[in-house]
Amino acid sequence: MAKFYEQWGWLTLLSTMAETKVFDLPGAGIDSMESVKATKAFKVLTYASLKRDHNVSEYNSLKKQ
Amino acid sequence: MKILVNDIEHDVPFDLSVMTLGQFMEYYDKYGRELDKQLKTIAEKKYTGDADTIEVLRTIDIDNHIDKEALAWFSFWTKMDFFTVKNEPFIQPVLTQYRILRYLLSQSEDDSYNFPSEIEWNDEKWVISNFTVTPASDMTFNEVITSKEVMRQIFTLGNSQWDALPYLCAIFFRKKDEAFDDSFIIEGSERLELMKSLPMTQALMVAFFLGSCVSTWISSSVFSLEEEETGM
Repeated sequence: MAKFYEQWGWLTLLSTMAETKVFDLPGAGIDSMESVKATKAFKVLTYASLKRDHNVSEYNSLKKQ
Repeated sequence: MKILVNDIEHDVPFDLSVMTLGQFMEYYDKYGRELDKQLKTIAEKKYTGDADTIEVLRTIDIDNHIDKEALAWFSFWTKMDFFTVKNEPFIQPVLTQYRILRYLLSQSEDDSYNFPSEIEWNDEKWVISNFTVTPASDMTFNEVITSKEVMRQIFTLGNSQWDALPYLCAIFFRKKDEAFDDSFIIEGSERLELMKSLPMTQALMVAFFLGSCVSTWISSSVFSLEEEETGM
């Protein structure tokens, strides 16, 4: 379990998600980081997975060129 | 179980529901950690000889280890040092009795894996958060990331899973309809102290839940894959 957590890089994921501002809660008076934390885990994980898929596919396309 | 040592009665529990997480952590610090190390050494030991000899040698080692377990368990609960009298003839019935009662201990551990959705504790209804991350689940990303950070910090400091458990209980074991709050896991907070008084059965339910949680997250998120697997 420790190994799994070590590998996952959650803090990087949190800051990456905050930078997108996708999960910002306007008018809630909290910053992007806090907004991501307050968002449902399902939403963040799904978004992160899709983003990862997109990045992988872009990377592979670039490699082929 | 009641035992008499020097005419003084001591209570030695063999049911996880009557011991708290805090007590178990204390036991683990004093004896459990070292016993786990020794058991790991036995598991990794390379025995020589034919299959029967290896089996006998391993059985002897495990048997000795269970004796140490027994001495540690009785020492912890009675506050007497049973190791100093381990070779005395009168200690043998205690060791034998421990083997019988050890079964009850593992039985009550098995019971904690059948976790109900709601638990009555301290005259209130408590629930273990639903671990299935679906569109309908209420778990916030904060719960996921906080549990991760707690585990990372605890393992970085070289502590055990038992040290992590009060924090994980504070995150995932909450009053019905209560939202998670960062203040729950602040060192010395009322909630964290309360979690240390949680019966071991409930604490193990949370531990079991977390195991399920991790495998669910691994299988449901591409982000959990290692970089090599995705070719990046």
